[in-house]
Amino acid sequence: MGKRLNEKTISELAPLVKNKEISPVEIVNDVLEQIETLNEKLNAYILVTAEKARRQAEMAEAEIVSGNYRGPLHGIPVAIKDIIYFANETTTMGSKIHRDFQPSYNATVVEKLTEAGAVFPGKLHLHEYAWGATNNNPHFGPASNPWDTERISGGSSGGSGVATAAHMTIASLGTDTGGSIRIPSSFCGIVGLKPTHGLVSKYGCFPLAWSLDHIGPMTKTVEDAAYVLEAIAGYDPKDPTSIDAPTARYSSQLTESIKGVKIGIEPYFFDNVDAEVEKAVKNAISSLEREGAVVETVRIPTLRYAQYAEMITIISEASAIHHQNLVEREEDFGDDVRFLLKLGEIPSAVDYLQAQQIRLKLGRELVETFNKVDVLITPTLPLLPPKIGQDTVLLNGKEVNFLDHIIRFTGPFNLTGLPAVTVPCGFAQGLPVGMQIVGPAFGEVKILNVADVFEKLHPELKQNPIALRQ
Amino acid sequence: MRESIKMVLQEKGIKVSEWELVLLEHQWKALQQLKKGIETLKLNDADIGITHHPGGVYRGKAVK
Repeated sequence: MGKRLNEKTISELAPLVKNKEISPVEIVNDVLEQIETLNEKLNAYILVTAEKARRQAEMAEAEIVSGNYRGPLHGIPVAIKDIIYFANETTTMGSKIHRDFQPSYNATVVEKLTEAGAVFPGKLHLHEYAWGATNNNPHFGPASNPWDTERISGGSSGGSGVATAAHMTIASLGTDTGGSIRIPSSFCGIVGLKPTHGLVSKYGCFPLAWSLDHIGPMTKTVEDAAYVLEAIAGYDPKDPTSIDAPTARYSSQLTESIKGVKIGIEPYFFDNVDAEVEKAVKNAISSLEREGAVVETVRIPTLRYAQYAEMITIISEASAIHHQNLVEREEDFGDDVRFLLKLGEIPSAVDYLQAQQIRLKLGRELVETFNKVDVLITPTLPLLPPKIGQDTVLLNGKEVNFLDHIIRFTGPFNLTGLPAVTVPCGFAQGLPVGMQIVGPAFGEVKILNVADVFEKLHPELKQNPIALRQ
Repeated sequence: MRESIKMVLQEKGIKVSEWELVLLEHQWKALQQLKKGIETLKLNDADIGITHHPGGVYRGKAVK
């Protein structure tokens, strides 16, 4: 039996839509049917906007039939994390406090996807205010990992990871402040791209930590991530951190060759890593070497302080944002978010400023590193997802606090704003393992190209999650 | 440590239970462990004033 339309990728669907072999209405109907079948079990969506999505698909169909094809996202369902604003539509941020909040304007990324002709099936689940990495949300319940529904999806963009992996959308958007795109992408076995800070506008996205927040694609393939990035990248004067840098046709620059590409390996990223995760990532690097890449060891001394700087920055900025509500209605936050917000009230101004100094030094060292190598490769995470509700996890037989390890490898690239993509590279204990590929500022083409080559070398890694086989 | 955390929070009007204080102290100590040896970094070489410079690292046009 062939794939249903919701199981296909953007690159498979776009030519069929363009040539009028299938209608966007057929695609959205298959997606909505999958949501209907699985959402109770996986809890990926907070809000399903079925009627609106059908209307958008009908409009897309009419435009295409009349000869007005807008491009590869025209008529393609793209679901959005419920922290990104749609005008006059509830945006909960996974919280009790904002449960009924309706913004009056669209986020820039929503405007851009609308211009590209995308269809929006609904709003995706997240950790409360994106402030956490488990997606175990006290107000909306946990999102479940489709590879093992007793385990966490990862977060904070857990709904985006689950919905994309379980074919409840064709693609999605997530946000990433310490790893919140890459963590659920890795745990759910999909591709997640955190672009260079400033490349994608954050206007109309409720902040977690202003200087660390990013919006990016979460997709089934690397090529699909390139298509979504093409649609959402670009300077936006409404976002003060937006950078007026050239964007690219990322999808057309995937060369399918990595001959001579220099891959940097920093031993820091292979210290205290789950043995099976380490093996999967090292095997993946060997596979890239066989394709002609050159592997070099690099040293980035300030990395050992990156987790401290990331944590001080994120807890301080998040607590500044939520300070008034913490003082006035702390009982309306979930236990874990309330705890982190209180933690963020402790650092002094000196602590915060020293964290920014570490950040600058790390950034400079990474500039030097990328003068020597094209990309860095790391495991996306040092460990596998714990069971829902567990604060600790076994790391090579030792019980460790999940929070102490979850952003160890992803956080440095929020601090420095560098682009990083995670791509599935193997399995451990039946769960997907992600490999993170990092590049210099605005080096999206480089990292997507390496990820694309790896993905195409290993079609055996494209499997349906276990929840879909039952 | 626990008393100073309690004082910082209470001065800001934030309620904190004894059990929360235990957890906050534990997590804060874990954070301090991560900065062990920071004095070797020569942090004052890093002039973060550049962050606020128009056209600097994080604002305005990309450095070409």
